[in-house]
Amino acid sequence: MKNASDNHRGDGNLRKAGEGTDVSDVKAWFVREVLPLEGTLLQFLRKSSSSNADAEDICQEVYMRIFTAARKQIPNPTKPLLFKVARDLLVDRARRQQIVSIQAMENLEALEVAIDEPGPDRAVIAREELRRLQAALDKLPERYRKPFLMKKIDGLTTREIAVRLGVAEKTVEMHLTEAVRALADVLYRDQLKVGETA
Amino acid sequence: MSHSGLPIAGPREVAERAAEWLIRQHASSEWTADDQAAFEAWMDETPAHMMAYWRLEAVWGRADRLSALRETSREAERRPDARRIRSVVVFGVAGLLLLGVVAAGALSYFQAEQPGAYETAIGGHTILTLADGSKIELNTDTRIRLGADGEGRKVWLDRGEAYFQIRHDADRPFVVVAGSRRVIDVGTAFSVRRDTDRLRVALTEGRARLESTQSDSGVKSIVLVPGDVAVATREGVARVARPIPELTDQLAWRRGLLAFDSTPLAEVAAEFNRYNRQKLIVVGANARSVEVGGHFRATNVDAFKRIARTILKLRVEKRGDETVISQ
Repeated sequence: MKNASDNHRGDGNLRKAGEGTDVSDVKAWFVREVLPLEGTLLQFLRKSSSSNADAEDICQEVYMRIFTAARKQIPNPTKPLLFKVARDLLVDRARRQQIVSIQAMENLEALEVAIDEPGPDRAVIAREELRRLQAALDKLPERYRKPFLMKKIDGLTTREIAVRLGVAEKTVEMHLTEAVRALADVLYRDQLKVGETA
Repeated sequence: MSHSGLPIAGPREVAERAAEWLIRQHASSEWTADDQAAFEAWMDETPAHMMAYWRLEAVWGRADRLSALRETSREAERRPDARRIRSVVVFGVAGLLLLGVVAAGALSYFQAEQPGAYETAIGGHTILTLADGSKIELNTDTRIRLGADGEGRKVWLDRGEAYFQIRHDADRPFVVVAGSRRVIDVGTAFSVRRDTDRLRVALTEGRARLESTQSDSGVKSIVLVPGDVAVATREGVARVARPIPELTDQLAWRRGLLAFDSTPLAEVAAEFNRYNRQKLIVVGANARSVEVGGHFRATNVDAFKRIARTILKLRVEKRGDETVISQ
């Protein structure tokens, strides 16, 4: 009942250098081609899975599989492969759980169509992302934004920021950590969730 | 519920760890060789770690472009000239936006409070912050040495190019020594580029003095004001006044860019070659004199090659580590 899924199980491990594409090339491709699609991918995964956390789990697994694929050869174009991998994973899971959500299957059908649609020009995406990043920065709570700007614009270290803000260096580190995660979520997922762990 | 049997943490924990690494690496006052080793081990554990890190690193690097972009838009307003090879300009900018994504995070930061040598590799770019708050930004393939305390504020530029933003201190002038010349600041921002046979100093703010390191050389010292570019060769020093926007263009490397304005292709290739191991060679007088304008990402030779092929209609052939461009 779960044959199709088994052949990539072992590929989760990192292939060591010496075969296939350079990791640095995979990185460049991942940042350039895959990340801009993350929002669309997650949106699709959310519709087809039981919870948000579930969708994020699957997203991580999709990334693992396309990483393995890219190590052999950088996919071109990226979008069809990305969504094919996502689709295969969802089908596997549905089989394993022996529940087939009708909605999920409908989404899969819709997806086949969506994959063929050309996306926006990458220069447009990049410009749009910068605009969103700026907006995201403006939206960040003051306690995250302040140390972030002190780091980015004034080039201060966490220790210097801690002294100026009168807080512990650990706190500054934590706020910067939160800031960069929140910015990434706004940029790539268009959702602002800050301070869940704070 | 185990859905796949992968022995890795959930995506949220991974993202959190990745963010911690990123912040510690980029912002922490201390980053030791042990930290680096632990970080690399973590990255090697699973591609999930790598990708989570890359994702955040891209955002971290992009944030630099936000302020950088504000700067460019101001410069653009001040510059009325829309130049000859308009299509190249357009493509250059498109390439820039596109590559902003790829090359994000290439810039690194260091606290340089220790005397000693600091250098960048080909294509490298680093900002050093000194104990007094002064900043030195190193361009590609550059080596500097910081003097020890007893020597006052002194930096040797052994090779390459650097941009200095100096905190003024009347009692302790800041001195940059490059071969047989030195630049003494009077509270200022300037760039120094040292090539094999010449030294070029461009001043964007404040005031600085350029003089010979030998007091008996007979070479007069000159005082530079904003807009001044001094070129020193073995024969002597020439000074020209340049519009500040032009100087700012020449500092485009601080944003990881190369700016050209009706620049002959041979010179363009030489500039790219400073930043990349993959070298461009332009063959033939016709091809060498083709003029190019626009902004390009310094490490993106491929984008430039595409433009040479499709817009400038030149022949582009890869031969080993070299790319030959001809008509």
